[in-house]
Amino acid sequence: MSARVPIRVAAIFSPGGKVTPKWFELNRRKYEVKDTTYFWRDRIGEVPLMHYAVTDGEALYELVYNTLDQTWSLNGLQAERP
Amino acid sequence: MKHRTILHADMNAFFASVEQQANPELRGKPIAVVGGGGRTVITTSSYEARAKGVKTGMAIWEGKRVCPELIIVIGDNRKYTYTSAKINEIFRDYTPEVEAFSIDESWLDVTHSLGIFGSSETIAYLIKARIRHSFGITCSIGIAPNKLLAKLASDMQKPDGLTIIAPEDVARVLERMPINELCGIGKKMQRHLNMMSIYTCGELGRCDEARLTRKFGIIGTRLKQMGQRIDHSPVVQFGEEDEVKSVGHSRTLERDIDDPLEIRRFLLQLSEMVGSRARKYNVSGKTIHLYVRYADFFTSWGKQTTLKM
Repeated sequence: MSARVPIRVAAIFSPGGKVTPKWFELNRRKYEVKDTTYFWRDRIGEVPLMHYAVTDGEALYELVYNTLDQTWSLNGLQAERP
Repeated sequence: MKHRTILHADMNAFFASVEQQANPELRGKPIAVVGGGGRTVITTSSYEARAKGVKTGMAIWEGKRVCPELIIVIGDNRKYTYTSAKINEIFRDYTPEVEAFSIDESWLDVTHSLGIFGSSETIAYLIKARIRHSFGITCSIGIAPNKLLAKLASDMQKPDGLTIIAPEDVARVLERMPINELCGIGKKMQRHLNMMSIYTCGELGRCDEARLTRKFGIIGTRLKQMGQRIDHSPVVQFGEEDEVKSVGHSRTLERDIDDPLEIRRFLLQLSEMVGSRARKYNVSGKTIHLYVRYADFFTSWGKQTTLKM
């Protein structure tokens, strides 16, 4: 799946600009972030974006934080099931 | 003259390693990174895939044929560019003289950092550990008295290697090394040199310079120097590169097109990209070169126009 879906995310904003997502809501279900497996930044026009590849222990999600309007979106989801 | 100490760091299967780090499900598995369009080939693959015969440049179906369990991942250039920039920041903690050769390769001149860190080997191990810890990526590092040899050294041990060519070992290492191992000698040049009975770096170094320049022009002198292990080229830091002489942009289309209107749309898009880069470098030009490669990937057409200024 790959789309930009606005979502609610709880994150810790630490001194130094570090942002750590802790949990997010998707389809009225709360997912705990067990691990942030990768982080990268990019930019669309003048808008700096922070990308987080996170896992709840089952699937991999790409959360994106828009630092200009301070919103979160789900950019992609990858689930591997047998 | 004091020897220089140059490090060449080459990230191992860079794009694939980044994807494996981002997605734990992919770790330890054969994966291939491809572009986003429908007409794409394998850009790079993980070492697990390479062990099964998957090679860069293969079509996806070819990769799947040699390795049916191959996992195809669509590449994300922004992720790689960001990681590459962060890795270069790590390099600059050890020397300001860092030259990014490509997105996954850099040269570091650590000659003046040895007094701080002790030895080039220590610097190499510190860099390897930090990159592995920060990004989960391994790299091969070559250490030698010049850029040419440092690159050669980093290619000798992959993945996760560290190879040192000490000044006193240079002649011995290069004597029997095939010429195609040298950076800058491609298949075409190798064929030409082989026709002159030059197969090893030792033979290249002993070849008469006049004979090489007759055949290759000014490149002949450079080739002779390569064979003699001479490379005085400095590590050029970002911002100190040569002046931009040309600005270009190309794009492989996802499907064949022949509608003139559609072709004009792509031309406008390419022109916008070139214009944007020219403005960034603060340069203007008077000659435009348009190059088209056709559907079979072999035939092409080019046209050059000089504008009246």
